[in-house]
Amino acid sequence: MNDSSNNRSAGNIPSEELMDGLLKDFFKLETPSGLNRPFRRPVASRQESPAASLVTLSTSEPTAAPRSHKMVVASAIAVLAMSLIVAMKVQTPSSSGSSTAANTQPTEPTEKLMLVSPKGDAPSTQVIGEDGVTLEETDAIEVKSQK
Amino acid sequence: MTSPVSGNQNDPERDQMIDTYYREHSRELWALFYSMCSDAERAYDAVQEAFLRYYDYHGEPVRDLRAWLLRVGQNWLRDVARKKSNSCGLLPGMDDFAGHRESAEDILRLSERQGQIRKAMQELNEDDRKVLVMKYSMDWSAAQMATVMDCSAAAIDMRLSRARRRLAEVLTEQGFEYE
Repeated sequence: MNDSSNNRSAGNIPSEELMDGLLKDFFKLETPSGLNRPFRRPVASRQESPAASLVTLSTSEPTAAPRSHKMVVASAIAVLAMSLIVAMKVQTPSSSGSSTAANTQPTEPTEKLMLVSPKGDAPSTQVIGEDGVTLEETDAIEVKSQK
Repeated sequence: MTSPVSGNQNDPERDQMIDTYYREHSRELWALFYSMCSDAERAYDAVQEAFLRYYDYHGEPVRDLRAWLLRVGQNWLRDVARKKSNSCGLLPGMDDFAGHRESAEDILRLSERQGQIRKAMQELNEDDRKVLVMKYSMDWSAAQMATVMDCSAAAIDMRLSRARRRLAEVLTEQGFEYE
C-alpha cells in the first residue's frame, strides 16, 4: 500500500494527518499578507484641520486684507463717477430739446408733410394715404382757389 | 488591554500604542472575524475597519480594547452581510502567486481547491471553525485556545479532532480530491 492509501481511513475519509497538512496549506494561502504589515493610517486625518489651515493662510499674508479694502473703495469711486457721467449724458439731450421746442413753438406753425411715392416721379398705383388715395389720383386733383 | 488614551489623533504615544496593538493582535482578530464570515478578505477589512474606527475615536477611554475592536469588527461584518451584493471578487490567495513561475492551470487548480475547502468550512458551526482557525492560522496551543474559549485544553483537543473530521466528511461529500 502506498502513503496515500495509508492516510485514508474506511469510507474514503482522510486521516487526521492528511487533514492537518491540508489545513496548514489552506490557511497559509488564506491568511492575508497585509496582516504582517504595519497598520495603515488614513492619510487625510494626518493633515491639518481646516481651521488650522485658515489661520495659517490669514497670518501668511498680512497685507491681503488692506489691499482688498483699497480695491473695494477704488471700484466704488469708479462706479460712482461712471454713473454720474451717464446721468449727465441722459439729462443733456432732453433739456436742450425742450428749450428749442419752447423757442420755436410760438413763432412758426408746424408744416404738414406731403405724401410722396417711394419711387420718386414714377407713376404708382400704390396707396399712399390712410383714405386709400394713390399718387396718380392725387396728381389728377385740380386745385382751384376759393373765391 | 486597557487604553488610557483616546481621542487625540496627533498623540505619538497613542499612535505607538495602536501600532503595537495592531502588530500583536491583528492576526487574532482576523482569525476570529474569519471564523464568523469564512471570507479572508472581508475578515481583513473588518480588522482594518475596527482599527481605523479606534484611530478616529474621540469618546471615553476604552477599558478593554480587544473587546471594543471585536465588537466594532463584528458590527461591521453584520452590516456588510446585510448589504451583501453579488459583486465579483478577486480569487483569494492570487496575490501570493504574483511573479511566480506556476502556470495558469496550476494557479486555477489551487484556487479551486481553496474554494472547495472554504465552502466546506462554511458548513461547519462557528465553534468548529474557530478552533481550526486558531490552530492553523494562528498556530495557537490547546492551552491558549482554552483560555479564549473558556474550557479545558483536553476539551479543545477533542473539539479540534471533531472539527477536522467534520471538515473531512464535508469535503468527501463534495467529491474533493485529496492529493
